[in-house]
Amino acid sequence: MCGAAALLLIAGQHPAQAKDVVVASVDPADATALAAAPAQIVLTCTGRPDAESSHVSVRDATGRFVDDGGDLRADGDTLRLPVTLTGTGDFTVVYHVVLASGADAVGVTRFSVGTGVAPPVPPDGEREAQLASAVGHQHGDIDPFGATLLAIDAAVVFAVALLLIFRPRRRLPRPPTSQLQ
Amino acid sequence: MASIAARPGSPGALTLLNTRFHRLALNTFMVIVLAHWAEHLVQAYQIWVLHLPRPKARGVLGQFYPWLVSSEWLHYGYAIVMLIGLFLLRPGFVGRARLWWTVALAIQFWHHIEHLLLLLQAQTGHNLWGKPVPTSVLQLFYPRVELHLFYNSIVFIPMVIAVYFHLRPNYADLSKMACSCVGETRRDPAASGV
Repeated sequence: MCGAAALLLIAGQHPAQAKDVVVASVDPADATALAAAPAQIVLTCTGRPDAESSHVSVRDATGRFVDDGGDLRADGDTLRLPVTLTGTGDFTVVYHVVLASGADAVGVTRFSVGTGVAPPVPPDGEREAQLASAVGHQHGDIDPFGATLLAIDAAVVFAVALLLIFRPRRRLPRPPTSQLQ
Repeated sequence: MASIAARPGSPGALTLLNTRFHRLALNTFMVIVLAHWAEHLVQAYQIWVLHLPRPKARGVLGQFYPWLVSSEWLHYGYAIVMLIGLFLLRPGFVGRARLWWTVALAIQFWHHIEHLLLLLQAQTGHNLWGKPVPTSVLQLFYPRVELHLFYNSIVFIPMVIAVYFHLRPNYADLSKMACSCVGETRRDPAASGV
């Protein structure tokens, strides 16, 4: 539901969605063909970014997260994400940047490493899904479906635990004396 | 399906697993299952309470081994461990417990097929149905995260119910049980006078 709402919000807007310009540039730039992997992703913002509320992730062509979990660092008007990318191929950067002023923006950029050609423009559906994940799925919004399932599972475990505690084990009746001898 | 019937003389490994060591094996299996759920709960806490971005909400293991979270091997590994555990421990269940355990096994079999499809796509680099990322069958209709959370739930719930019926059997089921889960309480010591 959150994803669908986010999708409606962002549909048709790329590479970044914002009321005001929040991200002035991204390095590596969108649709860049690099000879060697970058050591960091740098976003230059139009104001002071809030690193705690912002996030940047990098995925390979299979959709697997390849950023090594390094901390996103704010330095003046820039955000830096150290990355260790191995191998060649196309990579996608998905970001949600929040400025100290409260303004925010989500966006997707792509670059290639070692292929010699810029990554192809992704289908609209894929880009929108990535933007939706940046807005709704990566930011601490409670997913009602997941929360409900976890609550049901917890309730079942709790109920079974109570039953196991308060319901005594049944025992088979004593066998005939002749069988004991 | 495996049977606990054994040749006279030396019980086989499967027989031992489902008789003398069933309690130990079942406890070990449930620890693995609950640890998996605990990881999901930690992730939920990290996302919903600590407000970490999803890529950084990696549970406990993922904090130390970040690559694990996005590894198809991890997801497939857990799916196959679940399938093997459900299969190997099934003969020790009887009656109502066996019915619920079999339901969990059947659902997990399909869940495992879905993960196998994802793993094969990730390993070969060829995605099915022209999708940009590895995609399982029901992912064509439902988002991945929600789908697999749902799978885990509909396997977990019948499994827990099965364990309950196994540990609190009715008289009919109790009379058929041959595993160590029954233990010394199988017969009422007060009633037997011994």
